Amino acid sequence: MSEWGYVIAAYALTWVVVAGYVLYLRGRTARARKELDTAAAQETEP
Amino acid sequence: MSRAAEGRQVTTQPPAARWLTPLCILTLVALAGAQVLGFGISPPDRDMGHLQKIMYVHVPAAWSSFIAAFVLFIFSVLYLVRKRERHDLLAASAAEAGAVLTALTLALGSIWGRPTWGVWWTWDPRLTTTAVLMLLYVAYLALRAFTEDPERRARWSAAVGILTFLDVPIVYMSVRWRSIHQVPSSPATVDSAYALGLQVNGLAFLLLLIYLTAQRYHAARLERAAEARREEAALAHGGVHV
Repeated sequence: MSEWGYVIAAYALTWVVVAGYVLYLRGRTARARKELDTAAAQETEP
Repeated sequence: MSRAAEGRQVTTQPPAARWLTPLCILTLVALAGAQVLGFGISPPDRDMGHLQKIMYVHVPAAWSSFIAAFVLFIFSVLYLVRKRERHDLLAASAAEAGAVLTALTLALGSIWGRPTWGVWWTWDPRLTTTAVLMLLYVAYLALRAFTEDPERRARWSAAVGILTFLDVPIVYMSVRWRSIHQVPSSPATVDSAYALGLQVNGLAFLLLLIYLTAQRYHAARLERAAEARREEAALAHGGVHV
């Protein structure tokens, strides 16, 4: 692999890891928000 | 009610934290901008050529993983002293971000090491102590995942959190122990042609760490609030049957 191949691999990996973890966290937050709304709705049920 | 139980009480409706989305966009733009700047202004290194550009992601990722360990240490100590749940959640949030950044540091170091040292991995003191840091982060997260009692989980993981930070000075000093790793890169040790790019990327990664920790903390608060609501609902419905 050329010098540039290693450089591109390093930056691509950085973005895959950062974007992947950000998407995971935002998905987890959205799920938690939904769970909270569901739990709140159940609490108000007679 | 015990002091620990008081600390475990959570807000049943955490604030929406609408600032997280703008912070996310700002972080990603800052990260991309810093990398473009690093690429644009840095000439090829005399020995490493363009491989030097890996420094702009590898070194800031390592710095951020150290800062995450420091945050973990501070909130672990605070939890042991004050028994507040938010300190436990903040410590856990910093630990998860720290684990991701340490894994990234190791992988980027491996990519940089292959063309410069000729190997993907070697049991060099710097690499080994960084791998130990990674294992400590994993141990911290595994302990949290497998301990059900919240108080015990928080107390034990705080102890592991403190231990995790103790590895950071060892990682830092390890390049002095017959290591093939170069001396730590910093704006003070690199050529002035590379210093600005390193500083800007360091700040972008610091922003990334702040965002990741804040987003993870927000998710944890929502999860705890949902759990508390479910418990309240179960108690209320149980009361009707009695």
